[in-house]
Amino acid sequence: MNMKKIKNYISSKDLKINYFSRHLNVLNYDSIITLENDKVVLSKDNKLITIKGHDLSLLKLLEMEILIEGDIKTIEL
Amino acid sequence: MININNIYIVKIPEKYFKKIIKFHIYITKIVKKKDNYLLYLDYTNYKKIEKFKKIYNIELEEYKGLIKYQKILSKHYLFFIMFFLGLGFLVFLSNLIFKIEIKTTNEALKNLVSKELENNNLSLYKFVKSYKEKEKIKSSILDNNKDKLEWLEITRSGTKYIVSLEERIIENIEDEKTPRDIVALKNAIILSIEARSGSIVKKLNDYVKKGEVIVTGKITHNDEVKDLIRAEAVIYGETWYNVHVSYPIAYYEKTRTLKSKKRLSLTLFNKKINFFDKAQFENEEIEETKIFSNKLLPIKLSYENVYEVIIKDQVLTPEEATTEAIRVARSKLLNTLPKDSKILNQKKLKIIINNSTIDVDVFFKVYENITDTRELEEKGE
Repeated sequence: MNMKKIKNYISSKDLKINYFSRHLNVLNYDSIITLENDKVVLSKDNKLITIKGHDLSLLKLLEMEILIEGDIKTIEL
Repeated sequence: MININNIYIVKIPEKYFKKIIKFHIYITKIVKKKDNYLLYLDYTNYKKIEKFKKIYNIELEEYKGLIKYQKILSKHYLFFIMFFLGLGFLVFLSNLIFKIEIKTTNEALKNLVSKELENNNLSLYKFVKSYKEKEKIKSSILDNNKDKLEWLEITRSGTKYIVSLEERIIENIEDEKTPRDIVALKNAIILSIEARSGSIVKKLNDYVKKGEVIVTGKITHNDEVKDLIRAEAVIYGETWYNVHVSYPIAYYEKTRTLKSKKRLSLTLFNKKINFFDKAQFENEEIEETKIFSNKLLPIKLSYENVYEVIIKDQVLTPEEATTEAIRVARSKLLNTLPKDSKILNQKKLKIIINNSTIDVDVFFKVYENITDTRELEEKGE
């Protein structure tokens, strides 16, 4: 039972967003639509995730994970 | 999956960074540096980005991980080959035997040990031996030469083997039952007789010639030899020596005192400058260790051990020279005599004064051990 939970957690395809001290970590996104200094737009299952703020920049860009740094003001789903 | 072992760091101008994102290039780490971005990529993603190298002005900055070392190796392979060859050669040379020192003054024993070592494959220009092998060789040599060697040790000092040994001295255990006479070692007047066995045939103050019997092992009765025993005695007698000494009239002697000092010395042309030079010695003797010197440049830096010396430089009077000559003659004679001997009397025989030397003949009366032995044969003696 526990193993199943762990497996589901690891192989989950659900969108996950974590925010911690000027850093925003997005898991399981599909693609980057816009990448600007004050706005980053990502897509997931044809839906948009809009991140607004100042001095936004990428720190990591992987197939299913993106790490954004900057003065993040809003996250719109 | 990202390969964390090999990382390629590329530099891309900021204006092109957004454009490459659409090519699905995955970046482990992104660092902004002035107007550029440094992208940390694995091999697959580096290959993807490499295609746009010229279009987007992408430059490979650095490698990280194993690839970094692979690249260094391939760039400097010649150096590494030479380095390891050199190292190998050094190890090879340092494991060869270049000298074997056998510490003994006995030449025969030295040759014997040398041959034994050679038989055990421990010889010049062969490989050094392991501790186990060395111990085995040591035991083998000792076993083969039980009668000649008391102790043997083989120590390695770099490329040199030092063989220390102790010769086995088998005391010539004389058959204590062999009958013998005590005879005179040299011509002398007998001054003392200490006999423990045998018959004394000479008296004190008797003159004896070399080989003459003093204490005999023959037991006689009515002039007939009844038995032969081993005579035991110690005889001291007065002996005589003429010693000739030629001594210089002009006398020069240099002796070191216990005072010494160390100093640093710099020589420029003919000028010498001493550093850390404390007390001045009137006369000194220098042992020099060169730190720097050059055949072309007139400069030399050296470390010196300086010893204070007393110099005796004088012309002796004939009396002084004679006294000195007698002193030398005495010491010359005493050096040749056994330790229990003593000079009873001395007399100047002849003195010849030359231009630079004085020739003195001195006569000595000496008290010394004149004991010698001669074995007696059971029959016919």
